[in-house]
Amino acid sequence: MNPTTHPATGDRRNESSRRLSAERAAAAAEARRRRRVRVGLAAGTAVALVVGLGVAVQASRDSVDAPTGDPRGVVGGAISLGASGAPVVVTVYEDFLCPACRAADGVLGATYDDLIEQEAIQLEHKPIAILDGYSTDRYSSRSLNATACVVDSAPAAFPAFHDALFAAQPAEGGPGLSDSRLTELAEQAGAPGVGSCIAGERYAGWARSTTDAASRAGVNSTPTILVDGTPLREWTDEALRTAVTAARANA
Amino acid sequence: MPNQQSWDVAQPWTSTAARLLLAGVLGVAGLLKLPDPAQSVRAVRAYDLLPEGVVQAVGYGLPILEVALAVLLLIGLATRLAAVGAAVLMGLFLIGVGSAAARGLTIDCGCFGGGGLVPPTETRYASELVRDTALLGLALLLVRWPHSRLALDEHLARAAVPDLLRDHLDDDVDDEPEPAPEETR
Repeated sequence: MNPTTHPATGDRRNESSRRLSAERAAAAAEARRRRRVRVGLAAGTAVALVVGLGVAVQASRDSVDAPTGDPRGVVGGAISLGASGAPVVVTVYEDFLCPACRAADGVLGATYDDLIEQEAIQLEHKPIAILDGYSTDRYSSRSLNATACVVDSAPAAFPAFHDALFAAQPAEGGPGLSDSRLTELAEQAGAPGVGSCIAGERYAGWARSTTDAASRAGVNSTPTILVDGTPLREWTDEALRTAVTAARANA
Repeated sequence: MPNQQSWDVAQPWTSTAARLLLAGVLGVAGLLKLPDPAQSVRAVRAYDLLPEGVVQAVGYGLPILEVALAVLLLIGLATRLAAVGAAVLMGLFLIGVGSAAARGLTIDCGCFGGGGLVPPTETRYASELVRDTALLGLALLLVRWPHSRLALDEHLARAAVPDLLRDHLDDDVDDEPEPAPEETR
């Protein structure tokens, strides 16, 4: 700066002091800026590492041992009831922990039986496990595994076991039925000797893959009831019969 | 300008409140999804927006990213960066939920666990969009005014400056332009 613009000595002293002050302020700002950049880089790197590591951990938690193959009573991914030549196929996706599934089955169970008896439908059960998050002991998956055990050992015992699971359905948010209770229900339904299959979760891999297959097919909630592939929107006797009649007319 | 002055006083605490609120929502959302990675993947898949390989990565990674951002916001470390991250997430959530609504999907957003199809009468798109918009606003506020009380950033900014220069560290360690140095008397 040109000192001639500041003729007074006091002003010159002021000026140099001001310059020093400004330099220090600039140095302080620069130090802060550098620190902020370092903190930002470190935090960004840490987040990226944590997320990367976490994805690997979650992926491994989400994987299961090699699938055991389908249980004996599962054909084409479903447990089928009724004549295979029936004109209409009704597919039911259920989770044994899902209260709405129990309610829907309570309403529609008799209608299913009636339509099967008339050979109007073939009923495909595709139970899945999507509600482990609402159970303290992974009841969704355990009950689905138990179903696979029953269906493998005695396919004919499925309807009774299915109904027994809904009758004994635990509340969401707490523990489910114990393995020994599941084994008892299986025995009462006509599938003895499945205790080790249930306790050892022999069909954990199948339960996982059948749930995944449903998710990929666009089924993300339970119950999902399809009449020849078309979702049933209303879970009443009348709606089901109407949908079956309509599907039959289209076929 | 009295308004400017009162904002100068209120801003750091406003930013603190925004930080903690955003941290709370993100933290809860992430922690609720962490225990069930398979469900998290299914919730992402239900949006029907991403290819299968990406669906998996997002399903596994998103809850962790949410928790990580929540931790940064909670302790006030790299606040602006975390706020940018949160704003981007909220923007993406808005796009996801908005497109689900526009395409007539009937899904739960899966924001706090759960997710997947729901009966048409049980979609909550309006409230989900309003909530995410509000959270986006908080995140943007933090991007603009990251300086806040009870934040690690504040302590680090002070520690970064040598003692000799400490006098020149104004209380506001934000990116605001330096005030003109005081006149010496």
